[in-house]
Amino acid sequence: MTAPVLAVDDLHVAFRTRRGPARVVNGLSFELHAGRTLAVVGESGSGKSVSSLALLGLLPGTADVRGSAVFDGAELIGRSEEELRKVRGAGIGMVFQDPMTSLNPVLTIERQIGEALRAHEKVSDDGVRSRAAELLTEVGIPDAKARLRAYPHQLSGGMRQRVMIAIALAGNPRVLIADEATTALDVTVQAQILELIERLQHEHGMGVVWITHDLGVVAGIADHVVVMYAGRCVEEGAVDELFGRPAHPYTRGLLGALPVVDDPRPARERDELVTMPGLPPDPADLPPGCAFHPRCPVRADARCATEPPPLLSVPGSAAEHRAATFYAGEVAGR
Amino acid sequence: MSDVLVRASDLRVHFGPVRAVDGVDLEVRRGETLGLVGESGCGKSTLGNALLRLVEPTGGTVEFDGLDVTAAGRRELRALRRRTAMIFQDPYASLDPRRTVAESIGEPLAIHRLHRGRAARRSRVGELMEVVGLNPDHGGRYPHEFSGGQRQRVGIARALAGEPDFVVCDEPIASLDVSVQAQVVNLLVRLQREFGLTYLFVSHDLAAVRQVADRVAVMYLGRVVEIGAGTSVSGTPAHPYTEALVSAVPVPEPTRERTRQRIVLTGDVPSPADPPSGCRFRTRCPKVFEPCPDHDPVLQPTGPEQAAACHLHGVTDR
Repeated sequence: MTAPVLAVDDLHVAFRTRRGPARVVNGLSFELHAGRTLAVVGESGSGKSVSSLALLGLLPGTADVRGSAVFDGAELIGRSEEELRKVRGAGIGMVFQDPMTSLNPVLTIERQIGEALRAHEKVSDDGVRSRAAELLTEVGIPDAKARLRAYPHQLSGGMRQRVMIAIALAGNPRVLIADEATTALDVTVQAQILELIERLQHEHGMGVVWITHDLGVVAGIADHVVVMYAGRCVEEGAVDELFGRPAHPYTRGLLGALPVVDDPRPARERDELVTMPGLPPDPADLPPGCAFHPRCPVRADARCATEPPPLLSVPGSAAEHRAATFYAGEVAGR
Repeated sequence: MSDVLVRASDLRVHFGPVRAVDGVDLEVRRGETLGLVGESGCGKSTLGNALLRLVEPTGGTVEFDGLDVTAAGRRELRALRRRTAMIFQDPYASLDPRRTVAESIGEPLAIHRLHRGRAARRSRVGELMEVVGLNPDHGGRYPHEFSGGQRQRVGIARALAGEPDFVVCDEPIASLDVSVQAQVVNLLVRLQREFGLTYLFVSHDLAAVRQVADRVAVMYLGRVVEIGAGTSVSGTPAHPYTEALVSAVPVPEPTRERTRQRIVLTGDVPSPADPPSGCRFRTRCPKVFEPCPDHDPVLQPTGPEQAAACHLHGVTDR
């Protein structure tokens, strides 16, 4: 296999707080290859967004970032602001959840796409206009020339997210990070955006990091999945393996908690949803041992409370299917 | 006793030019959960509010247990308020941050003069907290001391305080994490069975609606376009919009997701201030044909326990 376009190794992020360090990312590693989609799944506070912001140097000064992130052969962690600016946009593009707060409400769409185009090369006004219109057409906005003069509030939520994607594409990035990019959208609009990103990925050969809490979306778009809990990868694997034979009790809990839309039984004949008791831990006060053990339905080993389980291959699965649990063998075997 | 608890007839709620709810006929049966799905701006929350007369209807009527809610006077409205309740999406915004949760849960008791006297009220609040799975010893705490899921439990306890018959749950799990959503969904289902409640469960999430609702109504641009048993509406949708909605819900099964034919709608939802002529869905409908621009379809039966407003099942006009 070719070298990954993005390789994150043992990434740690801690925020300095009055109550001591809040350890939000605790040793995250993953690899992304060109043309592939990596999904990073987790609930609020799992560290999934913070880790991607850390790569691009977008965290505030209260964050301590350690570890390594190699993009296109060059280390990102510890680079100067000026050097990172060259990576943002041109190397790695980003799309966030809420296009209304990411777009500037007082600038036209043309100005905002133009800003992204000019960040990396000298372009004339006419050049900006025609390239911006091209980008809008590419992301499926009809009547692109007229839309260039629009302000964000004049567009629908789906249109605004298309504009954000156009801005992310302006620098022709090799990696696109989409952070809950369809969460604020309606499902029929989400379907449009998912289809768009898939098409763009094929055309540009981008690697995509898709950060989300939505396992349904993941099942449809990901090649490889990383499940995060309390700042760690608790399970990763090819999408079919991970959904077909989930090995970590947390992954199994997440999948069981989802209502099934096409379960043919009427509501009254259905079983209760599987629940996990309690809440994810406070990153400033992580439990010793496995961070999931206070909520874990298995938790039969004395080591759970004292020793963090290493991320190891799941017995009987492909080598890249790994889980951080002392029970991977027995759970997956069921 | 009629088996219909709430009935809306030709209900309209307009905000200036915006026709949020624009001619809805709907029945909620005693003891059932009616799911109300639709996308942002379709009018589903406004409809829920109008059924409880939390917004004034522009036209049409709402009956609650035989009483015309739209014409009710102050005293009748107060009795109605005790028998109905609402659970909101964001339990943080719907609880007063300066009051303890016991005060918030007890407020409806004071308003409706139930469980009078301090001791009686305190014990009732403790009971309610226990029913929703909160520790009654935490009644003296403030909303910010609770997690999102716990705050939603406080909101539910408060809604149950007056022993209502009918509860409108307005996106009650939308702002919660997946693992917490499941806890709240299970709780709502359990409470309904325990207390014989009737729910209107308003949500954009069809999978969650299918988990709790006996029947499902689908809204588009201020109208109910399809209604029927949950199994029929999601299993054999009769309206092209429902079909697109069902096909757009992602399911956590990679092999099925890859092979699935998703119906991707084109364009955006038209403005509710200027809905299209004839059928309101026609501008985005993959099955649009001759009668659609000129005839405004009414709900008509398409099977047992199922009705849709679509000319594919025979041309109609309002």
